[in-house]
Amino acid sequence: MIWSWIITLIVSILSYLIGLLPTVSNTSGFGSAFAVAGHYMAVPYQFIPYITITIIAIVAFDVAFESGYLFFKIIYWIIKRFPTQS
Amino acid sequence: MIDPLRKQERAQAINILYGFRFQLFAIVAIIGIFIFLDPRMASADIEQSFHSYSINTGGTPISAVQTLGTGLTGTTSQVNLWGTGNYILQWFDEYSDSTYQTHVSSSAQQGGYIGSYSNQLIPIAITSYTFDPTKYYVLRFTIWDLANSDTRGYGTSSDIYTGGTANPSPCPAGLSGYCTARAVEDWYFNIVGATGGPIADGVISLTGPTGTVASSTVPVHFTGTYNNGNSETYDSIAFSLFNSTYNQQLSTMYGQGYATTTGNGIDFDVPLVIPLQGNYEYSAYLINTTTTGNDTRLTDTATSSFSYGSNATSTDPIYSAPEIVCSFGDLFCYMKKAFVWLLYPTDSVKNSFDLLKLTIVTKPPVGYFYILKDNLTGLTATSSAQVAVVIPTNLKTVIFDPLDVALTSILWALFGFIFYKRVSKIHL
Repeated sequence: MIWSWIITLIVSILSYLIGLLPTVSNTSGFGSAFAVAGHYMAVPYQFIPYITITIIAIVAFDVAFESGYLFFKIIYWIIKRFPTQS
Repeated sequence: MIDPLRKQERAQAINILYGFRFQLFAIVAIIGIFIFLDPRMASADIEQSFHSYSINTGGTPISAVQTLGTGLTGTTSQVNLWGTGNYILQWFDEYSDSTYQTHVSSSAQQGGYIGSYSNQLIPIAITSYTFDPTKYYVLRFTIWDLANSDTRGYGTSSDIYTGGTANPSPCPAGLSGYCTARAVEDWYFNIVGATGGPIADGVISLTGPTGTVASSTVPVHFTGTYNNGNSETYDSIAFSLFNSTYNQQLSTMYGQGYATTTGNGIDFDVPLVIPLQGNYEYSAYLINTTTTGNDTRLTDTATSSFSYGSNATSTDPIYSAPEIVCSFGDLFCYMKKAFVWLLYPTDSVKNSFDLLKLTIVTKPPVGYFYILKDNLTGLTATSSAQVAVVIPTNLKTVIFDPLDVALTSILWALFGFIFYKRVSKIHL
């Protein structure tokens, strides 16, 4: 019960604070941009499907990998700021 | 006074832990990312009423209309419907200027036979569509029965995987007959587990039962009270069993029970044949199977109790305290029970976390990530092409297909080489 009360209290406070933030919504222009991108992508996909998918997969992987590496570097930089005992 | 040797050992232990700091953070980061990407977190915000149509007129297609309204965002490529019958056709429409506009999205199987279903969740792929929040949308589906048997199609708009909050008001004049709930509505349960607390919205959770008991029949008893102010007959309750490892789209309805009485305190004896393997979640809907009087409504909340039959191998809801049986006078056991009661988080805490997660994904900055993720999910190369390129079959078979495979192989090889060079230069 103690644990439940503590978590409930934390969640309630967080919910209240987060609830103060405005709700984000997709704009039609942003959504349409992706839809249009899909239509354009479909053109080469008609006759060279493997290459099209491969390029997308490689770009997506590269973005994910570099983002992950950057994230790691940031965490690493923060860790280095921690005081240590030697 | 601390022994210098122990002090040195403690320092060594701290240093060892410190040496694993990157791994620890990497594990936390990876788990965090996976939790972050939980598809259930990105699912619907649309919570409107539950519409249905129940017919028993063989060969006659019946259209049901569900108003979604304005405010929808995100991209959707699938709609889930519960159904019984032979044909289900469906599409999204934009409604403006007092008329239905061109179908903005249709089921891939529109006009075709998509199978015979018996109270199952039917995931229907539709052509990918990105909502415009300023437009008013309706979901129309037609059910078709060729066998002159009871045919139903029903679904909740919350099964539409997209973002935003639908607002069906103000109702367009031409749709006034559809903006109010009709036929069958979602019946919100407040289910009390065998040992756990109340769980909202008709879904209960349980740990296990585990192990495969393919042919076991598990009797399930529901007792509930409800407000039937209009004196309608509510005579069927349907259960769906969710494998909690997967998301809702993969679930299947496993059982259905019928009540023989009306009024307060219905007892449902539901024979379920459940392949018991892994963790499951039950959900329950009350359905009116009366084939006439489609205006019957179930509008009130209900409190039901849920109990499992003796064949179930586990009755412990998730996050409820483990059952500890103490013999008389066992003080240590009593203490253990007290500590479990004191420290074990309850189901409602877990539910509050779920609600918090749903809130977070609609707020900045996490909400922006989910908007991007939803849009990226809807990005597909198989949508209708901007320019139609027609290539003779022979030319495609002889030139483009081999070229496609060959260049793809070269691309992957190049990628492997460049990626290796990149990784070799990374200094952690």
